[in-house]
Amino acid sequence: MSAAGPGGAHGASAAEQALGSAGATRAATGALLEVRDLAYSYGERKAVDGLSFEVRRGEIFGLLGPNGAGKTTAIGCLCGLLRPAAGQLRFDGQPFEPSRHPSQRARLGVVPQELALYDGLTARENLRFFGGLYGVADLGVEVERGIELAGLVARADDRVKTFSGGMKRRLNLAAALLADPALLLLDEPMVGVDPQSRHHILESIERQADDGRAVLYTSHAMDEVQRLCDRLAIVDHGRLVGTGSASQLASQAGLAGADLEQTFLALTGHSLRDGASA
Amino acid sequence: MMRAAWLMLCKDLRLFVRDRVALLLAVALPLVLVTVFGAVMANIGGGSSGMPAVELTVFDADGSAASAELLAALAAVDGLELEHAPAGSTREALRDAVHDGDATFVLIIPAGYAEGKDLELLRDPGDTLGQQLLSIGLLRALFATQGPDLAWDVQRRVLASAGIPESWMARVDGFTLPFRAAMEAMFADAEAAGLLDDGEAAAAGDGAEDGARDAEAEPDGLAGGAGEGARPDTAAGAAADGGAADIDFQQLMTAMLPLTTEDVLPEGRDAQITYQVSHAVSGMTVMMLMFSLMGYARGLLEERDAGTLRRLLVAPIDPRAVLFSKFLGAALLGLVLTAMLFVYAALLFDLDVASRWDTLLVVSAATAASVTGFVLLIAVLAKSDKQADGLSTLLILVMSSVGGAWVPLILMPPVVRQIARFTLPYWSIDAYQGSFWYGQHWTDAPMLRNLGVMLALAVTLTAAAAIVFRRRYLNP
Repeated sequence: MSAAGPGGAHGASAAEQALGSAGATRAATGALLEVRDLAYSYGERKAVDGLSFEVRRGEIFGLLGPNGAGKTTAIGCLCGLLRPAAGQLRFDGQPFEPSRHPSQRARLGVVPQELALYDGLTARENLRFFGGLYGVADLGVEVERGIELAGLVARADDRVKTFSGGMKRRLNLAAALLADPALLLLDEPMVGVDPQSRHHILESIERQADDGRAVLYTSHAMDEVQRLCDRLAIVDHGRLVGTGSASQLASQAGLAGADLEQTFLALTGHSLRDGASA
Repeated sequence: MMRAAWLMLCKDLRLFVRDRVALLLAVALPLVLVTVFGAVMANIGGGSSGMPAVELTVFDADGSAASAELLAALAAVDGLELEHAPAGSTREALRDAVHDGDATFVLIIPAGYAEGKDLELLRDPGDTLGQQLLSIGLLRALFATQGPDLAWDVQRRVLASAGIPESWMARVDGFTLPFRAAMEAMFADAEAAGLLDDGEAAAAGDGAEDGARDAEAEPDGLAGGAGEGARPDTAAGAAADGGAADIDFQQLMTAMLPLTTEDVLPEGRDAQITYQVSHAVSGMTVMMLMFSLMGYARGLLEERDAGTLRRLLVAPIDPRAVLFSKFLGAALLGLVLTAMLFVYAALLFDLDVASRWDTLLVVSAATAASVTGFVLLIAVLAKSDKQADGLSTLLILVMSSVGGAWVPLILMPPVVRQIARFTLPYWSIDAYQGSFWYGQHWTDAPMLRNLGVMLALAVTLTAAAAIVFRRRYLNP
C-alpha cells in the first residue's frame, strides 16, 4: 500500500528507504499498519481529514504536527478509542477495527500522553495489573522483564507516587510493552523527563524497532524525532502535508539540507498556508 | 469481561484501602454521625409545634352522637390525621394492623362509650414521638367534647390510680363542687358568647390548663397522694407546651383519661430501642453510604484525569467492564459499610441485628445497588472533580433531608412526605425501618415493594450511567 497525501505518493521505493538524517540503522520490511483516508470529526470540526500512511515492521514512524493538528485523534482511531468516521485500517494485511473488536487491540502497545499509572500501586503491581488485562502469559516473568526495562529493579515495590517523572515515564513505556505488541503507539512519551531517563527511553524504543516491532511516535521534540524516526508524516489541520524521511521532507519543502525543525515550520508554519510552498 | 472486571475491582479496592483519608472519611464519619444522630434522636421527648401530624386509625363501635362528636373533635385537631377503619373491623384485625406495621395507633370507640365506657388505644409503644403528638391530640379532642367534666373525671382517675379509695371521692366532690359549678358556668358563658365555636381546641387546651392548676391547688394530702408518676399538672403542661423530656405518657394517659391502652409489639423487635434510634441508624446509614460510595465512584474521574482510563479503554477488554468493575466495587463496599454500621449500632444502641441478618443483607444489597447506580451516574455526568463534589453533595443532602434520613417523616408536612417518595433514601429507610421496627421479613409484601423500587432505581440509574459513559468515553 502507498500513502497518498499533499506531500506526494510514497511507496516502498528505494528512495524512501533512504533514511536521510534520521536513524539509518534499521531495515524496515513490509507494512504492518496501513491507514487510508482516515477521517474523524468532533461535531462540525474535522480533526482528521483523509489521513493516509503506513507503518512498517522494524521502523519508527514519526507523526508530527502542531498542537491540534490531529495527531492524538489519529492515534485514538488507531488504538480503538475512537471510531473513525471514514477510511480504512489494515493490520498485517487484515481489516483492522479495534473500536469494534477489542481483541484486536491485543497487538497494540499504547503509551498515552499522560502518566497513565496508578500512583497508589507499586511499580510491580501496576505492571501486574496491566499485564493481567492483556492476558499476558507467564506474567511474573514479563513483569520482572518490564521492571528491568524500566530500570526500576531497586524500586519495584515502591509506590509510583514516590517516583520521579522520568521513572514514571519509563514505567509507562514498560507497561505498554508487557504484552509483546507488534505495533507500539507512543503519544508524546517523553514529556518532563530528565536527560538520563530520556536517553534510557529513546534507547528502549530503538531496541523495540530493532526487534522487529513497528513504532508510531508523536512528539514536538524535533531532535528526538530526528534521532529516532526512520520516516515521518507531518500533519496539519488533520491533513497530511508531507511524508518521507527527514531529508525527503526538507526537499519537499524546498529546504534541502535544512534540519527537521526548519522543515516542519516550512510545512506547517504561516508561510506555507499563505502559499510559500508554491 | 468478568476476568477484566475482577482485575479492575481488586485494583480499585486496593487503591481505596491505601487512601487513608478516603478510608477515614468512609468509615469514621458514618460512625460519628450515627452516634450523634442516634443519641440526639433517642432523647427527643416531644417538640410538637402543631405542624407534625400522627396517623390515627379510628374505629367507632358505638355509633352514638357522643362518638361522632369525639371523631369530629379528633378530626379538627391539626396534629392528627384520621383514618377510619373499615366498617365491621374486629378488634383482632385492628390489633394485627398495629402488629404488622400497617398502623401505629388505633383508637377504638367501644360500644357503650356514650354511657361512659373507656376508649381503647392499641399502639406501637416504640413510637414515642408519635405517642406524644397523639396524647396532645386526644387531650384536645376530649376536652373539646367533654369540657370541664373531663377535668373532674381526670381528677378522680388520678386520685384513684394513686390509691385514694372510691369512698373518699365524695369528700373531694364536696369541696370541688363550688369550683366545678363556677367552671361549668364559665364554659356555658363562653359557649353562649360564641367563643367556643371556632376555637374549641384552644378553649379545651385552656380548660386543661385550668384543670391542671385546679388539681395542683388541691389540699396537700390529696395532691401528694397522686404520686410521682401521674401528676395531672405535668400532663397538662406537657400537652400545652408541646412536651417535656421525661414523661411516661403511657402511664399518664392511662391514669388521666378515659382510656385503656394496649401495647402491640411486633415480633422480634427489641422493646428497648425506640423508633427514633432505629430511624436514626437507618437514615444515617443510607446518607453516609451515598457519601462514601460517591467517594469511591469519583475514582472514575481520577482515572480519567490521570490517563489510566484511556489506558484501560485501549486494552483488549470489553470496555463495559470498566464501569461494571466500578459497580461491583462500590456495591461491595456499600455492603461492607452497612454491615459495619449495623454491628456498631447493635453494640451501641442494642439494635437487634443478628435475628434479622438475612433481611438486612437483602435490603443492604438493594440499597447498595441503588446508591451505586446513583453515584456512578453522577461520576459519569460530571466533567470535573469539583462538579462531582458539588452535584453529589447537593443531591445527597437534599434527598437525605427530604427523604427522611435526618428526622422521621412524621415531623414533616404532608407535602414533603409525598415528595419523599421520589427520593432514593426514602425507600431504603422505609425498608430498614420495616425490618427494625415492624419486624418484617424481606419476603413480606411491604418489604418486597421497597426492594422492587430500589432494584428498579438501581437498574435505571446504572443503565443511564452506562449510556452516558458510552457516549462520553467510548467513541465520543
